[in-house]
Amino acid sequence: MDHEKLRESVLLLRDGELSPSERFAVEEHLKECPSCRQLAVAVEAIGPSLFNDAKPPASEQFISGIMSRIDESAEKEIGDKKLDLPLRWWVPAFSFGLAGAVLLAAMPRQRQLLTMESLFAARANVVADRVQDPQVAYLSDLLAVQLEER
Amino acid sequence: MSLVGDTARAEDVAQESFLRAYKALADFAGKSSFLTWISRIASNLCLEILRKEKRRREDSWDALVERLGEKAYNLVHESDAFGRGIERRDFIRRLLSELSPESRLALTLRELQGFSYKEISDAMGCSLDSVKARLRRARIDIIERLNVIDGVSADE
Repeated sequence: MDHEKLRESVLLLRDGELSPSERFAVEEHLKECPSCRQLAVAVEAIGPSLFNDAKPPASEQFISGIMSRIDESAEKEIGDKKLDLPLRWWVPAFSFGLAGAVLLAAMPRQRQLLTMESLFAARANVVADRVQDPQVAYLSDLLAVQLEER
Repeated sequence: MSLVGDTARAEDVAQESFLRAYKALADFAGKSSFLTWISRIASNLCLEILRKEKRRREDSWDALVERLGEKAYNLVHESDAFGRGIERRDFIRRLLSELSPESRLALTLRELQGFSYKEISDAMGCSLDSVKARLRRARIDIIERLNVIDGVSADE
């Protein structure tokens, strides 16, 4: 094994997961290489220097905290589902309503109303001729005059 | 706690891990042990947090050590005898934040939790070779940064 490989193994020696042959090779190398010995000491010191804080005990509210978060999450999900149902109907209803409004706005309403009134007036004239009623004739004439005025 | 800071935050992260596990319970196929599965969820959450934290970091390690001077040496090598428990913990956290999130998590699982390489690879969802590489990288980076502290301390 070359020096670089041995040095890489020195970095893992502490973990006790090198194969027996690797471990033997590293230990033999450490006897004669001061820089790798220094490295091994530095690696050994990392754990005690940096990870020596005692693990804090779990607080008494830990379990109750998890349970309340689960409850909150479940309530939120139910709330979302409730909101989903009307939304499913409101979206197409609103779309259709909006489309209808746009169509109505786009139609030539005034002209159409006039056309309808003209047809009605013509029809009233025919009825007045048939019925020969003065009141119907009067109404028919009135309608015709109003149409002409427009 | 060594990953996320204070006890309250660590507890919050642990609770969040359990909540995520609860939500994903239907996806648990039983291919690994429940402990491995939940460790993986917690590891992913820790990685998310560490990546965000790394983006927020302010000054460089060398500048920080230069500013603290001999105090940096004492914070690493002295115990809590000077009543510097919280200050020391923050400083160690800052030192660990120099590592990549993956290396930091692997090292913490190994040094603090005593996980084997196999357990780390299961928890982090990576190969055994990746675990070894991350541990090597983490240890080299830490030793280099500790050497900066020792160098500054020796100069003073």
